[in-house]
Amino acid sequence: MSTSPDTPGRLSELLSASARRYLFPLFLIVLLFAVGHSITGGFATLGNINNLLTVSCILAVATFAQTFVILAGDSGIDLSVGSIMSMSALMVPTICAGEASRLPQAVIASILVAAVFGFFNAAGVMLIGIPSLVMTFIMSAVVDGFTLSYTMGQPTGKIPDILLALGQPAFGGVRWILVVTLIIAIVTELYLRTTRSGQSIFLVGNNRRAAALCGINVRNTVFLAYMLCAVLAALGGILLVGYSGSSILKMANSNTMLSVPAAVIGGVNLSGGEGNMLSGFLGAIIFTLLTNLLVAAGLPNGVRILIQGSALLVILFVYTRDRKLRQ
Amino acid sequence: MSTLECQGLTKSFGAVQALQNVSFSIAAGEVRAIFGGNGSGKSTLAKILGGSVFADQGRIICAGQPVNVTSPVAAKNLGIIVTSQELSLLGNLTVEENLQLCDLPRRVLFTDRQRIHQEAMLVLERFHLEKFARSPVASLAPNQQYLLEFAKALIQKPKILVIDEITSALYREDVAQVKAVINELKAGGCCQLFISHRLNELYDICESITILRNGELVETAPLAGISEDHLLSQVSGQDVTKVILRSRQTTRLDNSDKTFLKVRDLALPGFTDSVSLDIAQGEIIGVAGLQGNGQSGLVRSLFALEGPIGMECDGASLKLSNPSQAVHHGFAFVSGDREREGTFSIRSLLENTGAVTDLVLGKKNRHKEESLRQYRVAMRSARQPIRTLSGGNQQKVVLARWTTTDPRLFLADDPTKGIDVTARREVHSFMHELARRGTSVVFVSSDSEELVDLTRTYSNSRVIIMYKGQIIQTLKGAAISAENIAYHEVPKGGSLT
Amino acid sequence: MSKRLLSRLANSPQLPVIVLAVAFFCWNALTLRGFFTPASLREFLNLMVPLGCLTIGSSMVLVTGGLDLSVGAVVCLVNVTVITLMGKNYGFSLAAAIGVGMLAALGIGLLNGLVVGYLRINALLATFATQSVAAGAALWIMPRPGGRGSTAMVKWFKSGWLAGVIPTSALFLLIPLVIWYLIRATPFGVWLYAVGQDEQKAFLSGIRTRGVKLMAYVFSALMAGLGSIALLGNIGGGDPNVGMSLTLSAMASTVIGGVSLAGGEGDALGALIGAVFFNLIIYTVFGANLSVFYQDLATGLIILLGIVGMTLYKQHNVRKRRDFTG
Repeated sequence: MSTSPDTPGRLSELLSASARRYLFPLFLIVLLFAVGHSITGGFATLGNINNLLTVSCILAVATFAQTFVILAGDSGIDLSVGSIMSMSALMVPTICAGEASRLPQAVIASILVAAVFGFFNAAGVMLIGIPSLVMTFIMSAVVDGFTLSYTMGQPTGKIPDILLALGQPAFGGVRWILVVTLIIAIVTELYLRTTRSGQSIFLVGNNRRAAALCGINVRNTVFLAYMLCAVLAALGGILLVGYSGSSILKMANSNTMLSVPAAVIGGVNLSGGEGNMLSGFLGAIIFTLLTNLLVAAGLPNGVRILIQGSALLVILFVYTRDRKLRQ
Repeated sequence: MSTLECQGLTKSFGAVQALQNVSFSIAAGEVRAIFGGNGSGKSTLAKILGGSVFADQGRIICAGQPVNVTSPVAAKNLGIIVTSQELSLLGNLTVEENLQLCDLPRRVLFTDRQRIHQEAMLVLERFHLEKFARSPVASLAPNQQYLLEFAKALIQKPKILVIDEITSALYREDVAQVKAVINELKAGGCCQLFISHRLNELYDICESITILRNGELVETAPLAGISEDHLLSQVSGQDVTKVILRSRQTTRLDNSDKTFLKVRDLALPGFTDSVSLDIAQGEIIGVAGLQGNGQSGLVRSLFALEGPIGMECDGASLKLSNPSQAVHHGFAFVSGDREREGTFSIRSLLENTGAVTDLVLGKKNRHKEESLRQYRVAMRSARQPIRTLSGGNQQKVVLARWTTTDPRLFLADDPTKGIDVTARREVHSFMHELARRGTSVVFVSSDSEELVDLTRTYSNSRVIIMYKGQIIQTLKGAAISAENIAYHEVPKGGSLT
Repeated sequence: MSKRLLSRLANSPQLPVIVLAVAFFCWNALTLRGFFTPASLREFLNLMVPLGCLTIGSSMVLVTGGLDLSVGAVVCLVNVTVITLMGKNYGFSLAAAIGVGMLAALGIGLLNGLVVGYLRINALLATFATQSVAAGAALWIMPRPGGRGSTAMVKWFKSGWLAGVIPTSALFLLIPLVIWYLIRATPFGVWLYAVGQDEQKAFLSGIRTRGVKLMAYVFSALMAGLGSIALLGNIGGGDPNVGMSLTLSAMASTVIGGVSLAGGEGDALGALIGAVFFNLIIYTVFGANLSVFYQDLATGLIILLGIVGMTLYKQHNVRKRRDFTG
């Protein structure tokens, strides 16, 4: 039996894949800014760019979280990301109850609770075999209900100043939240690339059977991915409450919907095994830009949501298709 | 009048040539056996006739007219019915619904349940399955489901019937019923292709035979004059009659080799009798046999892939519950199905190579790129995704992944499937290198020439031949030849069931 | 003969939900004051009808092995369409407004069917996206709750009787059920189950699987539209978010009703009983005087336990029957 030889030019294909991961999103960002500029003059000013980058940090962290679950493969998607973010955003001030010294406990508590939710997501998916979209969809309702119960609808407690500092400028107009988000991106990316468990996530996501045959504990790896996703979402909620200075029920839930296409545009492969935090950040910027653009264009709320849904459909069409039935 | 003629059928799947210029013709009322080993192309042939795969080149001519089989529905309209090896039945529907699924009888708009039942019963009676008519298919035993698959083909009144490996799950009485139906169809002028690897059935049921090997047609002839040995020779490409009878003379083996592993009473999946095996350190064991006789099950069981396995290792008892434990005990496993079980397609060569050493065993391998170069993997950069490599090179990367773990036991399930001869030779030399360093190798292959190649230049080796989950023959030293292997693949004397 | 019937019942996927529904009905009847009265029972029926419609529609999609996450949004869309058209700007009659509303539902159904059946995009993700399309459209048409429907219709729905025997609200369940079972009796009905069991095998048997999936999503959307009309019979006015929570409830009820998430098993009656059970248990929770802040959590946990429980129950059953069909 014959096999095909390597064809020349594969390396250039390789190079452009990496460039494609960053160039295409950057191109979209520039395009969106240009469109925004044509709608309202102040859109592409340095100040506004800074604002938009800052605002996109929240969606960015949601995207990082989502990336973990998608990376682990088997068409995993976590629809509870936004709800966990909201939960954490409301839980932390409630635990603090005005005492800044209680912040460490509050942060740890919200992370632990989030990890438990992530654990149950993974359990439903891996142990019982419920599709991840369904399991996490249900979990989002449970998390929302939990948040409502826990806070009795009224998150009490002043938000500690150190959190509020996230919205303040660090240097040269760049706010602290942007710095923190970049740090989170770098740390998680390093985790994925350099640690054994992180690298295992890629292999498990690409080919579960081969990973098991290598001796990798697939179940543990998937559990880890779901739990890290939840923890990151919790962190995102903490950033959110600090940056926005207020906590409202379900304030972060809209991030769920956008975290998926943001990740996809950022180069995450929906079947798993391929993804990158920094380009995910770019994807988050694109969708934040899109949202703001639609607002700047004076489009009503409903139209915005309609367009976001359509954008997701287009992205799904371009990036994912099930196998054809006929060979 | 239904006749079938195939002219120059050619099909490749990517780099694999499944069929190469296959031509033959079958007369009306003729029952033709299609015989061949693993990878001979017989399943591809069935799928092309059934319309679920398109041939790259070639023509199909039915009753003198060239036809285009563009889909399963088109095939059925032409009267070509193919039974599927993987069973086309739907477990949640009833038996009678399954039988008539392709063309459900209607009355006005609604399903005509009465007619479904009546027509189904006519066919079910022939196989004594009447009482299951309204039961869901999932509640039937495997042999009953395969009979049902056959009944479903029957009910569609085939002009050309392709029976693809249906008898492997049937009991003797079932096969007798199938034979009776085949004879009836024969009398009615239907031309039939009977694909099977069970020799005795072919002689019993068919009148002529077409032999395929590696996608090519080797011979078409009436079965009356052909001996079993001739068939085996043709299907393996070896002259079985030139058996080297010096099988008693073996080269002297170094008896001081310690027995590294002892396996006792292992029941392989799908077989009832159990097998036992002793493996010496640094020994190479080639595993031969006709397809589906437990070779694959043997190596997979040893890797704890078919459930927990107990064995004696270095004198102490060892129980492995899963592959992860096996890996930690120094076992390695390479499969021939690299797409599903080997490669991480979108990950880099480095990641693929280091998957076990770095991530599972925790011994970070700093010489991955070196190993890849040693194995002469044709690459531009070790960071390129593995799917950009040719099949042979991909498999070399997978092998490098395991050989760099310094394993004690190296298990391989047809690892050189789809790889060219030069790359195969390289793989064999890696195996020798491993064995010289003390690794025991168990190497399954459907290619007897390869097994000869593997064991020829290495004295501490043997070839075991498996049949129905048992080791029926062991060949050592000069007795290892392709002819000998082919000859022993089927037990001699008595019936072949 | 009765032994075979009993054994069929014991193995049917609807058994658990029937047991649960009967159990909770009795429980409510005994513990909730005023539950077991004609007025209260009628009220219960009226309230559960919208969910019932949705489950009948969902069951068809689930049987084909898919999932429709957009049903709640369709309810919102139809609601605001009807109310807006009946408002002063357009002045449509009730019948005309309902007609247009159902067309809107049909549109979403066709979109779903096209995207999942023909473009072959994953059903869960696709309907998750179309959910936003429908919900966004609803918000666009009516950004804030308001508008008045027809008080006559509400009266008819809530307290009317057909031929003195059938409650008018029940018509919204009976007619879809009849349609569902009529469809079940056609070859298409068999194809639905074939596609859900194994789409590849169904295709190889000559079934037009893409068309089957399209019709299932269209049916689901139309049932959601009908459910929206029924909901109008309850609330009378317009609200762009009125149906959003129904998606999850419908999915849970359908699964609890024995319709497998994997496809190929279950039917509309089971799904409907699932909706009955779901509403019964909501009554129980409300009746337990739980603080308002715990009700959402309780509902969420019920849904979680219901789906997890049913999935485990089915797996246990499947282990008892070995399946060799490849």
